[in-house]
Amino acid sequence: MRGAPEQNRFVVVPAYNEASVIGSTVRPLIEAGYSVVVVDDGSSDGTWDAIQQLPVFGLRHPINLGQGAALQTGMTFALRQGADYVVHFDADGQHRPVDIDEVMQPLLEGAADVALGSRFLNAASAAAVPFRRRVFLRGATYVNFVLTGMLLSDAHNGLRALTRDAAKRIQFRETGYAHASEILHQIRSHRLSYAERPITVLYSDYSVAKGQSLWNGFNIVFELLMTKLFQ
Amino acid sequence: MKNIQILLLTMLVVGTVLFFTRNRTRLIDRIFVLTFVLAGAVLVSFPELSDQLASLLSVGRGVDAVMYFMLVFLSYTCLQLYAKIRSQDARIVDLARFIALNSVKLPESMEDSMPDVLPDVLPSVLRIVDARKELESEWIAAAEAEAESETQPFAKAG
Repeated sequence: MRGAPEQNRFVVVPAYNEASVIGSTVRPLIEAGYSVVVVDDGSSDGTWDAIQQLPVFGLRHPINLGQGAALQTGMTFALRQGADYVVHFDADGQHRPVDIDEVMQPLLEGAADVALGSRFLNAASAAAVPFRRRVFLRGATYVNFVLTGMLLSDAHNGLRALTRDAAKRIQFRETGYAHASEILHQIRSHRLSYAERPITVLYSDYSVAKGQSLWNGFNIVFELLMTKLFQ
Repeated sequence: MKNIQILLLTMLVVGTVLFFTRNRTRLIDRIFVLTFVLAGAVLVSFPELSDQLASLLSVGRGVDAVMYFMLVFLSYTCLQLYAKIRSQDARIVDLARFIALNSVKLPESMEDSMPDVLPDVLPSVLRIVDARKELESEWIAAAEAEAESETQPFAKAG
């Protein structure tokens, strides 16, 4: 029964204008036997055509909504397909497929409902983070702490694993990047257990160019405050 | 009556007429706008009233008092609009998600995929399409036959 348990592990890959890399990001996941859900978030660059060539579940937002919304769409679909575990995985190639085992482990052991990847738990991986990113992310961990009461080692890491139960309870209302803070808030409010696991983030020119700027960080804080005000 | 009063009253009347003719509004909005317009008209017609109101509130001039109220009112409107936009955004997200979840490309289907819309309905939809095509070809045949019979006399004449 090769790959049988992996089939119920759904890897959700939100993709916005990632036509050139989506194939190479997704192929190792398919080979590992995971059920892969790619959510095209209203791309305009042929990402949807690229998805047609891949043996994956493809979902497409008719308009661009944001990464949080794409993840939520993927999670909802995965749960409908009977997923036992849901993994969030970035489309731009910054995550290593082998690290999925790392974030899955606490869930399989029953030690946590949600596992969050962290690039700062492993010295070699932490050293590879460009200086400006490191400063930005460190600042973001404190902002998260103020807003959510959870102090983690990494603030915006897209690699996470959730049990079916956790995925059902966590509902992203933040459509943009603020979902990374929202998930912490919801872990707390739903009293879910969580663990941080060391993973490696690969910094290619491509992924750095698509990464977030400091200015974006301010936007994220603003979005979070507005959601708090207008709940 | 001063020129400025005529100008302001005209603008109020035009604005009100536009609001009631162009926008389909809720009753609460209409009451709100009517109250606002009446208050405006009264203040424009009798400017001394605002001075009395100001001294009642220990504000220097009537104009200042009106401006403070305007500021509060405009801020409130801004927040109200922002909340409305957010709830509208949330509905757009729900709608887009619904569309995405109802047209899934399956792993089995590579290349031109059929959207996964109610698979059990699909055969009957295809039957309808086939029936329609059949009908169309019948119509075309009938139309051709008719056209031929119409050209017959000319053919004979020729």
